[in-house]
Formats: sequence, C-alpha cells, structure tokens
Amino acid sequence: MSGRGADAVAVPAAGPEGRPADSPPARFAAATRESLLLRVLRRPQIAAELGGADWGVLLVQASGAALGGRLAALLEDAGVLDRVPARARDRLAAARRTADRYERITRWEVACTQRALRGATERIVLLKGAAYVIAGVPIGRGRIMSDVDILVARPDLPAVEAAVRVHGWRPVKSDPYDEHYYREYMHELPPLVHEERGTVLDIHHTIVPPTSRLKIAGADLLAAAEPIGGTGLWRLAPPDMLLHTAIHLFHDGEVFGGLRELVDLDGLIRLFGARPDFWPGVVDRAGHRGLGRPLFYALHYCRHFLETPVPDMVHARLATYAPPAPVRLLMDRLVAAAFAPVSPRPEDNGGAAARWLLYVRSHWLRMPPLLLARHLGRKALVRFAARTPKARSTRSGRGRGAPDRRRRGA
Amino acid sequence: MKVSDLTSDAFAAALGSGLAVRLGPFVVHWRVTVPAARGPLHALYAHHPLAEPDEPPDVYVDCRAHLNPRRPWSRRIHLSIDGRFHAAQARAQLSVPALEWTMNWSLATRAHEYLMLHAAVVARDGRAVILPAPPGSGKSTLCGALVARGWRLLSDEFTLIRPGDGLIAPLPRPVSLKEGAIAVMRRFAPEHMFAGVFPGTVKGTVGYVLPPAASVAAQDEPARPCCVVLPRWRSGAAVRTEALSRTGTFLALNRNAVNYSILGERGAALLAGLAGGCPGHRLAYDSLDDAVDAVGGLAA
Repeated sequence: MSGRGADAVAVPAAGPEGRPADSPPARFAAATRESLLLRVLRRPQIAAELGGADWGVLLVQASGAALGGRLAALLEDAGVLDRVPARARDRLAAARRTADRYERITRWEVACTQRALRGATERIVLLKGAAYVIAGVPIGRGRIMSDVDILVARPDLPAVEAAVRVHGWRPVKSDPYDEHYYREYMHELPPLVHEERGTVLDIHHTIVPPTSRLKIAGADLLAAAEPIGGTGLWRLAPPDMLLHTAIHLFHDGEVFGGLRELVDLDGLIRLFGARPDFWPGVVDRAGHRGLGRPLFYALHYCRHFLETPVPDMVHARLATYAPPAPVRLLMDRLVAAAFAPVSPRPEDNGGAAARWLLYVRSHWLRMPPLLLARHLGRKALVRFAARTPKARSTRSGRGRGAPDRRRRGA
Repeated sequence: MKVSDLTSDAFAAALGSGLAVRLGPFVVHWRVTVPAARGPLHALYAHHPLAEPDEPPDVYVDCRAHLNPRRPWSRRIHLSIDGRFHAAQARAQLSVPALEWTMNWSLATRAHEYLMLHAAVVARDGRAVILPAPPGSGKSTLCGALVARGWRLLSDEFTLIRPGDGLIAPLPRPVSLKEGAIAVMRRFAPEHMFAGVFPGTVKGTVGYVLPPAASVAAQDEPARPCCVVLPRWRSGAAVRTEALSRTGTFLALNRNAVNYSILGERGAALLAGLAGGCPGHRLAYDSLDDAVDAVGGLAA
C-alpha cells in the first residue's frame, strides 16, 4: 500500500469497459487504492502538482486519519499552500480552524488544570498533545487532540484527585467495575470529565499499565522531565516522549488512530534527532525498561511509511529487538491494513479485522492471561446485558452518535 | 452542463458510478445506487451545474442498499460520508430526505471556511435578509413564500458568511417543508413545484420545493446582508414587527451560529460586524401574504 519510491503523481490505470484510463471514474478508482496521504506526508512539495481528483482523495485520506489540520500546517511550512487549487485550500483552511480550536481548548484546559493543582503536586508533566502545544513542538500545529494528559508523582495522586474534583472534574464512568479496573490495573486514574466544560483530563502516574510486562517507574520519568520555559509546567525528556508515543501506538490499543501517532513519532524524531544525547538516551532507556520491541516497531514503521531519518547505527542496534520473522511478517500485514487510507468509496474500507486483531494484541500485552480473560468476560457480559430491551430503553438518551471514546480504556 | 441536461437514464448511470454536482461554493460527489432516489434527485437538482472534472469534491456522499449477512432479509439503505458509514435508513423511499440530511450534516461539520448560521436567507436587488430561527418557527415556510414571490433563494438551511468581506455565499438547495407547511405552501403558491413529498420520515412528512432556476444560476454571486428577521408563526396573530437591539440581534445570530466556537475570535468579530450592520427585527405573523409584505418593507 505504501508504494515507496513510486512517487509519480499521475496514477495510470486500465479503465474498465474500454473507458479511457484517465476518465474521472477510472482515475477516482485508481487514486483511492494507494495512499496519496503518505506520499504527501513524505514530500509535501508534490502537493503542488496534484490534480483535482487527487485532491478530493487526499483530503478524504487526511481527514479520515484525523490529519487534515496537520496536512494544512505541513503544506504551509513547505510553502506550497498557494499552489493548491482554491477549493482544496478552503478544505485545508477549514481543517486548520478545527485544529486551532483544539489548540485553544488545550491551552485553556492546561491553565485550568495548573490552577486547580496549585499546591497539590510539585511537577505537572504534560504528555502528548498538551505537551506539544504548550512547549511549542511543531507537530502540535494543526494536530487534533481530545483529552489533556498529565503525569504526576504517584504519592501525590490522592491530593491531585481531590484538588481536581474540587475544581469540577468528575469521573466519566460510574460503574464500580470500571473504577476498580482503572485503580487496580491501569497507569492512570479513571478519566475525569469537567462538569461544565465537558473536557476530559487523564491523570497518569506512569506510561504503561502496571499489569503489563513492561515496567516503567513513573519516578524516573518525572526525574528526567524538562521544564517548559516560562510556564511552570514540564514535559517528558525527548527520549521518553518518543518512547511514550511508541508504547501508545505499538503496545496500547491506539492503532485506530495509528497513522496520526506515527506522524507524531516522525515529527519528534525530526525535531530531536539532531540532539547529541537523543539517540543514546532512546536506546539506553529502551534497553533498561524492556521497550526494545515497541521501539523497534516505531522506528521500523516510521522509516517504512514516512522515510523518517533514523541513523543506521540506531537501526542496527535495534535489530536485536526485532521479532521473529513470522511475527514480523504478520505485524507488517496488520499495520499496513490498519494504516490503510480511508477511501471515499465505502466498499474499499475494510481493515476492521486487522484493527481488531491489533486491539486484541494490545490487551494481550497489557495484562496477564487470566486477568485478561476475566476482564474481557466481564466486558462481554456487560455488552450482552446492554442488548436486552430493558437496558436499551435506559440507554436511549445517549443518542446514536455517542462516541465510545474510552475504547482503549476498557 | 446542468443536471437536467442528462436524460434520466444517463443521470442514473452517472449517479451509480459517481457524479459531482456544484451546490453553491461546494462540490458534492454523489454515488447513489438506490433506484428510488434517482427520480427525486434528478428533479430537485435539475438546475444545478455539474462540476468540472478537475474540481476536487468537498464531500463524497454515498447511498446504497446494504446487505447485512446476519439479517439477509432486511435490506437497509446505508449513507456514507467520505467513505465512512454515517446513517442507515430502513425504507428506500426515504433515501432522498436521508441524503439531504446527510449533506446538511457533512457541510455543517466541515465548511469552517465560512461562518455558518442555521438560517434561511433570501435576497432582492442584491440585499439579503437573514431568517435565523429554531425549527418549528416557520422559517422555511416564510423562506419558501418569499421565493415564490420572486425573492432570490440563497439558502433554506445554512447562511454562509465569507470571513474576508462579510458577504453571503449562496447555497441554493431544495427548500424543505414539513407536515402542515406543505399544504400551506400549496395553497399560497400552487405553481410552486414540490419535486418530492416523503411521508413517514422521523420528522413526519417532508416535502421539497425545487429551487428556482434563476437562484441556482446566480449561485456564484454573493449578496450583502441587509437585515435580520426572526419569524414566528402564530395562529390568528396580526402581522407585527418589533425592532431588536443590536445586542438582541447579536444574540439571535449567536444562538443559530453553527461553527461560532470553531472560528473563535474571528467568528465573534464576524458576528458582531453582522449585528452592527444589519438591523434585527422580530416578525410575528399568521398570514404568509402579510409576512412577505412585511419582510419587503424591512428590507427596503
């Protein structure tokens, strides 16, 4: 699907029923089959040469991967925005405005969180989107983000939770089992939603579930964190930022938004890769914490899909963490399917099976088998109970489009 | 080339493989394989131009019968936006209202290059009257009546304000009338063409009035907003207008702004400019004839 090296803009295709190959339907069908988005992410300059039909497909692929605003920012940086057809430019501007709104909300929420936590904990470490925005990391521009994620010292958790509750955040889930699940098995508190603003705050004490086979002490992350100048806030050390995203993508169940996270990884590497202590830090930490495998996947797929500049030396050292060949082949298949671009044609959008397998895999990695069986059994029971007519009538108030945004949680 | 230049067979074939139509500033790419939808679509969008082959679509809307392998006896209509499932519709006869709602939803959630108001808008002599109102207030009925009396239809659903110059970009599409309003409109303007009446939708009976050819032909010509009228139909009421304060106008526009929060400060500034430049009025009416005259007076 990635078509590496095949960066020709025109996509020749044999037209069905003897139709000329470049008739709009044939071009449409052909262009949807491979990822224009990946080609443009690798080389934004080619956007200047795309035709109208290509743009239609590219914009669907970008918004399908929640990368519309990011694409707009990328094209702006590459200076090709004014060579884009006017209508496509409108779409990009609209996507950018949506992303700008997320940025505004994030800034506001971070300020509110900081105010709420005054005195409750010493270091508030911003994670992911919030860190990119507040620290001015370029990948934060045009990025869609939903929740604010922070990391605090585990001993401070009770004080932190009490403080945010005083300031209006409430647990999203009231189910005692979910509550128990988060507190016992997860690396974060049950997600909190603000009762007036409806925004979600995730409070982490480390970046992997304590039940998973990886062990990362939150204290190490906090100690290595770096201040964000002039804000009183912190972000993870660059190697930890990279590893966090790598874990999220190739260990947690976040394959649904996979490409977006891969773009984050790519951006972090391009930003921090030149720092002399970056790659040694990444390789050391991965070794000590048993993160070699997710890191291998992260760099492997970054290079493969986005041609991210990973030094050969680093890549060679990581080869020891590569999975056995059959596993790797399977992962290549699954990841390619999960990252496959959304097509404007519904019949092209399969990939659900691959995403499901990756989701199952993430749970497998997250907890020991017995616990997993118990957890999934419980979830199945709840889902079954929700199907009975009685339960349905009580659920109807949630509306059709109520997003199941805690998919990765439980 | 216009939709009506295609024979119904050619239109059906094009719809099946993908047909891009220009609706105001947008290009909507339809793929519709439900036979029941073809006739009404062909009629309702007869005056709309087809998009040039090289214009990128703003949205891909797909409508087809979906076979569920677990329930092969029930054929449902699936509507997709940009290749992804959006909504299902149990009855093929109701595909057209479902398509209209799907297009509304897709535009409302993506056209942030404009400040979007949930409001009808009509114009005469280049002066546009914005009719923002919640559903049930008679907004579409009054809009349909004004159009029947020669006003230019800019939009029945969305008022698109251009951030650059504050002008309104027309988006003439079928005017949607519900339940009793359909009979009212038939009495008021018997020559007005309903190109599709669909009983039994979730919103009751829905009827669509064909947008006038002249309004569609002028869909690339923006109009300057001149006043804001909040219509309210009341049985037996004498026609009455009441001027709103500038703040009242701002709040009325704000309540009906679709993407105000997404545009942030820019949205607030645009809305304030609009409220500052366009006097607002409440209009209570019973008789459509009186209401049409009253709007004419306010816009003069």
